[in-house]
Amino acid sequence: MSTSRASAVARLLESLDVTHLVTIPDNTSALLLEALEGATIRTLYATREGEAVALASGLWLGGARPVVLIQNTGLLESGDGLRGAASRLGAPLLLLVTTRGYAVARAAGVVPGAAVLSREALVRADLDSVALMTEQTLDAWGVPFHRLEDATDLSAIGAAWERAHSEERPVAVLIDATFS
Amino acid sequence: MLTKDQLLKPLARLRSDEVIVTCMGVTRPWGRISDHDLDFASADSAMGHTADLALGIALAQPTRRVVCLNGDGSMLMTLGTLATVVEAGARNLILFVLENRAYEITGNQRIPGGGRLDFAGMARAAGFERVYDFDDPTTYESALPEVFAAEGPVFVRVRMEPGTEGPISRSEKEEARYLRTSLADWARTFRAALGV
Repeated sequence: MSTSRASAVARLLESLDVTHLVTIPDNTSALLLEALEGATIRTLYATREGEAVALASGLWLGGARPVVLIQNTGLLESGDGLRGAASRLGAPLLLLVTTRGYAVARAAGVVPGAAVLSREALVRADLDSVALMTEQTLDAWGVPFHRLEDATDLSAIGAAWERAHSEERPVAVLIDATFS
Repeated sequence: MLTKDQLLKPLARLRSDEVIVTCMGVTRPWGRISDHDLDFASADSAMGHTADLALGIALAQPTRRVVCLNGDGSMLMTLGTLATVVEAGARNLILFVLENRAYEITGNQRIPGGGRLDFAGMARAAGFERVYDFDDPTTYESALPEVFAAEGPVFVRVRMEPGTEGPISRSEKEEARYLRTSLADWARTFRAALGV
């Protein structure tokens, strides 16, 4: 994520009246977290992604307007928090999910969202298996998602935010790591 | 060690407009003595995430005290939350860990390290400055007003008698009002009571 793009995302989140961003920081989100310094949005650091989702669900219960920023590997860890807290509550959580392994998968001729989860695919050293199962996992968990694939078009974030609130459920945005 | 009545009745007498978040084995007993829209049962919910929900509520409602009655098995599933609570500086959060050394509602299976773990020590090591440790009902009841008045985040470990609560449903079969509806429907009730 470039500095200017990160600033644009931060401004967009502010325009949506987001109050808190709950995250486990990593290299793919560092610039956005930097851009949020000085913003009206409070950043909260959790220790695991399921904890982040449950914490954000509690924030919503209390009347705040949180978003969650995690990597797709951590998304896989968050399953029961997402199921049992956010989805069961009907909490309109926006999940910003960076996509480790997507660029490598495409370079290897594999479309992440259409990958076959065969043993051969899952053990390949030249693929990051998290890219192969991110979208299938969201489908299985009943979490709709939008893709953010163009650095100059952040409309997926606003669309996911609106959908989360109109449908009262968590909605994810997959932020393509090749733009990071 | 305390029984559930010895734990909950003094709490109910002291409670005014605090949020009370319950978990597992105390969910039904609290619902028998309290019928308040600001009660929240982390039941039919995410395993181990009761304290996370309570922390979120506390941060969103900084002028209202939030009391979380967490179980030791639940706390053990998300020990990282102790660090997060302190890092977030939730001054209005009182986090109880009710140590019965077992996963009570699934049949009292022993938790790893049950009876040997020092949850109060873990809380101190995570940075909690106010840590209480109770093993008898008289000391607990006399100290409870101080616990409520203390600036948080506050950690309270209570050694509990084993219980016999079974699995919790969200249905008309339950006595407690906050268990007779879905989590999503109760969320509406709870948020309305907060005025959000």
